[in-house]
Amino acid sequence: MKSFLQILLPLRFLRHLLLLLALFAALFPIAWMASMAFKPMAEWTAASGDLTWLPKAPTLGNFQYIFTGVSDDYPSSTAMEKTAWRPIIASLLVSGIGTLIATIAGTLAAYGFSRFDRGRGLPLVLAQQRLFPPLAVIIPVMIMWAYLDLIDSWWGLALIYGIVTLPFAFWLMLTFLDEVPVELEEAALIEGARPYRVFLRVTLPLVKPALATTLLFVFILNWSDYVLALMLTREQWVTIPVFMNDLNSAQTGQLYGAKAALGLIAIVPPMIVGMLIQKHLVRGLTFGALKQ
Amino acid sequence: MSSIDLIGLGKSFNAVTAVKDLTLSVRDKEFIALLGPSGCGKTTTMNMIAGIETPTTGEIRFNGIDISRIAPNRRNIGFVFQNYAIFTHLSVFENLAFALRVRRLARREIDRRVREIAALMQLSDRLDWPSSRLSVNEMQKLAIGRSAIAEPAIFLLDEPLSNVDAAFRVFMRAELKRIQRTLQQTMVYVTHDQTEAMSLADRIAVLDRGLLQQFDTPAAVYNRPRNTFVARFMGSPAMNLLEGNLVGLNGAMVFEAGAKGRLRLDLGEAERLANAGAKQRILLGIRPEDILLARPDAGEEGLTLPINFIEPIGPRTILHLGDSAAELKVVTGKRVPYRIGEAVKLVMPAERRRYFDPASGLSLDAGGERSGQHGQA
Amino acid sequence: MSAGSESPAVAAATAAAGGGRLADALGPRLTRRIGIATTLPTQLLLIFIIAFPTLVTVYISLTAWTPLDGITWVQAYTSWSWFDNYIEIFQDGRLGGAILRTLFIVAVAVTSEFLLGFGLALLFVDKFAFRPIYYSLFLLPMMVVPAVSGYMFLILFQSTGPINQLISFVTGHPFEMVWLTNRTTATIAVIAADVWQWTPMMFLILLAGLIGVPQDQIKAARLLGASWGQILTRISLPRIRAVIVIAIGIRFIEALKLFDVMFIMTKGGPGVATETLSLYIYKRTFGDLEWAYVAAIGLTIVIVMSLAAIATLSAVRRIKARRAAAA
Repeated sequence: MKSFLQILLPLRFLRHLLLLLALFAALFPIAWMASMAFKPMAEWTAASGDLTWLPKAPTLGNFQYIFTGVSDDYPSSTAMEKTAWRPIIASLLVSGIGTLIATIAGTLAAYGFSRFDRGRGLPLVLAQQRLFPPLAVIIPVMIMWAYLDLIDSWWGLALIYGIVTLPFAFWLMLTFLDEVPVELEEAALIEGARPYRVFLRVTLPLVKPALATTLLFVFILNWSDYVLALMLTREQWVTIPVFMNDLNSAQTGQLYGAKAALGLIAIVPPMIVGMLIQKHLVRGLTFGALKQ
Repeated sequence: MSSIDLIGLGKSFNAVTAVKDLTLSVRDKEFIALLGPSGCGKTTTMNMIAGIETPTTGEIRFNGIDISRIAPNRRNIGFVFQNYAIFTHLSVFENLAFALRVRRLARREIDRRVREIAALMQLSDRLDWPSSRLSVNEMQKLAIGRSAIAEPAIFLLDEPLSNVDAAFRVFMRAELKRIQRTLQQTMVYVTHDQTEAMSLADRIAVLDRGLLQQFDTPAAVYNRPRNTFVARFMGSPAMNLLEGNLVGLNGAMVFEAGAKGRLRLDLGEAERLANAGAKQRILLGIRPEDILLARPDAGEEGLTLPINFIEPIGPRTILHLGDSAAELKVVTGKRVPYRIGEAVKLVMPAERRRYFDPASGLSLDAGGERSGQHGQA
Repeated sequence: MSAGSESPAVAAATAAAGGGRLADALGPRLTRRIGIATTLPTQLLLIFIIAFPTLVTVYISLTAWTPLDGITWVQAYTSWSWFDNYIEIFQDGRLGGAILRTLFIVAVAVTSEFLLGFGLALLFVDKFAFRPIYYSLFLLPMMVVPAVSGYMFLILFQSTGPINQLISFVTGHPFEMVWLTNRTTATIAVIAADVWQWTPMMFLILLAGLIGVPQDQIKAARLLGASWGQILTRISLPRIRAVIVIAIGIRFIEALKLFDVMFIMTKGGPGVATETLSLYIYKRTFGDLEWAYVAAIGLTIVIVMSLAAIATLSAVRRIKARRAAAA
């Protein structure tokens, strides 16, 4: 049977043409940044007139800069004390712990809601949490964090990350748990197994892929955060996106090459993770309203 | 006029051949069944007639005109899907009206014809209902009505009765015939149920693994199967097929079945088999309901086997006979005064006996119908 | 589900404890305890993040405190000012401007994302060579860290950047627009960045909806004589109405929070040309340090959005009820 765009040859050609154009638009910015990450300073400073698409003289100078603070390619005035190592570790650690917090609390709550009809207000409250711009509610959080001495600490940031992504973990695990038939757990319980054992040995193995999907999905969200890290870190626990702000110099202005290099590193984890959980993205993004 | 001609029709999906070299002609206003087990290519064939699939080889003609280049929405055919494919987001009325709306008919005309069809399908009091609320039986009627309203000359139905309950199935069979006669359509009906095909069709096309086995009237397909596949597929229980040897004995041809006994062939049979070039090994076919039971020591000629299993099914009884496995089945309406383990003599009237070549499976009854690819009944 | 061997009293107690799918197997007391235990961590976290901040916000918003005062927030009562902050909200022209600008940018961006996403989804509905590969590649923009995409587009929209180069190439004339210092083009640049990043999400959701349209119904419609356009309008679109609403709704709400990209690309400039609500709040918070006022704004936003959400939900419920009754 003919497809939406008839199989007549010119139209099939048109479809591929449109797709390639769209693909170009989709990948171009990323490709540009990747190319810029390997360009020497001469090729990306504002002074250079002629911009080239691929680096004429590819170099690792940008990467050298972000990892060591100095670069053969850069003037010495740009030397910085901090390097990107700490922010990378900070991002990994904080995102990881935040993800664990959100997933553990969210999965438990979803289990309680799904199996025991407990916490009936939870879905709504958690969804509502996503309505508000973070900046509108950041002040009391900052005050609270300052009071509890959580500013610029990894556990402080991890905690807020966990809280903020909790709704996603909850909704995602809820839709997955609702799909698991309850008969197996019932059978185990009737045979006398203790409930927590049933949860650990019967339920969790059944939702292993769902758990993995949730962990990865929430991780991307946490890794991508900017505002919260901007507000709640100072020196010690700056994450990657915030650190990119610091890649400036008085003389040369924004160090685009360095930012491109760090940016390139920053987007690789979520892209890989995103590819892995492709199948469930729709479910996560629509709070389970749709499945793929 | 709405005849259908399939000429050398074939369809392959990569390495798999679904339909191979299918040639048959459906006459105007005829009701034919495409019958066969799953995977035999019947649905693929129908999809090709509808235009949902494009043939790999061959031609399809309506009234002699090659329609392979005509888009499915222009072929003016009715199609009823197995799961009905009702537009669940539309009301019953809108479902029925759909074919007319896409042809942009006037509102009053649409209204009149929808009510007409609804009356014919007995759905008049459901017209404003959301179609998802209908029962399965009503959905089926809606599916038929929806296709019938555009008054197509050809109607294709893909196992439409497989989802409805048994009582309704019997009712709908009669209804379908009635509708077909009323609307004067050519109908092609896909089914795997040979009872259904027998009761509905003017002619039956039996398919197996993409190949046409036989295309003939129900009586012919049942009584004069062209090969062992058709013989076994038609009838429930299937036709018995017994291996044996043809030997000459005292000037007559005899069917020799080892310990079970032998049967003398009459002149007519012997002549037919000789003309057909029958070899020594041969398959004897006889329908379970055509076999008569007798005591092993009775005078009539027959084969003797022990009873393996007795299956009473209401007014009739099925006897399974054989040593270890059931080799033969007999269906009888009379009382069965035998027990399991007892040996019984099976009398097989000559006129009900059929013969097949064990190697090719083809029927050796040359004197019977030469029905086959070109469907001349 | 269970053997039904409980007494009516036990059954009633189980129902009172909240029932649930495993309640039968466990009995009311255990059900209750486990139910509480599993939802407790989440509820504690929620109380933690809602209770105290709300109190603080309400408290501060009724004062004129700023950190510059030198006192801690606890002593903010010393500059009590009742509802002055709230009155100021309605008189704040710059806030109004920021809200309008936000609505405008979000409307344009989400509409563009919808149209592009839908068009792309239509291209994807039937199979074609390499479809899975195309699909995966189209999802990539969505995975990019928004802050990084902010930098990407900052670089792209430089006056000596590739976008100008591309336009020069296509039009044949040298094109040296300074995107981010011109009000109109800065807005365009910011919208472009958002559209680039989030069209894939629309595409993803709408495609899932389109594919969900039962193939059989499309075939049936075709055989009943419908053209492809008629199938689109009579079968596909009506069926994915709900999906469209969800996609647009979710994207709209997320877009209102716009901050990362805008902060990095323009910081609201030139002037206030691209100053959205979040940026305005940022400036008042960290620039002017007017925390009391910002607290009032924050609370107002929370109340307004919650009311809007409740109104939408009840409207949806009313529509569903009406539809069920009509059947």
